[in-house]
Amino acid sequence: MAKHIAVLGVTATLLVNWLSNEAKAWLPWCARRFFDISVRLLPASRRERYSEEWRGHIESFPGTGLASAQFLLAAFEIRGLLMKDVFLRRWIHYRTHAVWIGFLVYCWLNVQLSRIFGSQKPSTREPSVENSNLVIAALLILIMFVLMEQSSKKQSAIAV
Amino acid sequence: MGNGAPRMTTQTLGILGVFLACPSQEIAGADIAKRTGLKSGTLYPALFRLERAEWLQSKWEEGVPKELGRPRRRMYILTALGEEQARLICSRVTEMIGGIAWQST
Repeated sequence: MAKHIAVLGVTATLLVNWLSNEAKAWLPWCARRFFDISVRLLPASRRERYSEEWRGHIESFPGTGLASAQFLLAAFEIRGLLMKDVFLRRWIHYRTHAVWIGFLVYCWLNVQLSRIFGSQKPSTREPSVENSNLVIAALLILIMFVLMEQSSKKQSAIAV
Repeated sequence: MGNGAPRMTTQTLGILGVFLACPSQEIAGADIAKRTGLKSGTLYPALFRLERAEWLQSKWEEGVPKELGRPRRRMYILTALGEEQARLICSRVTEMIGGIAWQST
């Protein structure tokens, strides 16, 4: 029994030693890979800048090894922020379209619903109904112009 | 203002604190990391946000990497807008903490 434990202990020590040596040998490669992946995660326009900046950062903290994995987090977040900007820009653009479509749908529904449910023809409806429709249409146009104005302001504010 | 005010976290406050200590000085990302103890995974997105909001400006340090013997550093400096906003935030935070401290005594 004692012999088996001794053999097991020696084997385990050798194995741990071998594994730690392997890990040490692989560490610089892993760090390089993490760094490359981090840089590649960024949009092409930002890669050169951050690649040089982060290489300078690594030089300032020698022996950090796997600390370069931290750059993966940084790259993910910066990429996310840039994508959020793009998404916001698209949303602002399509929001204006959505209001236009909403306005047209409203006009279409106004005609269709009066045909389906209304006993009266559009031309013979009460003047108050016509007026309320006009007010709603005017409000929609107003909202549309406000949104367009806002979107043009935001678009100029968002940095490319 | 650039792209709205950046999200104000303790990390961002720490970074602004470093810049407020020497407002006209250009500081590299690695130096900010040393002073604040922030990891690069937190530091660079925070710097990116501040730069996007035009609170910070950045430029490459003078010199060629071959002559320097190392990669160039990106130097960050507080803008006039950034300094104004950072001071405003600092005064608000001080006011709030002062109020809490006053209430707790």
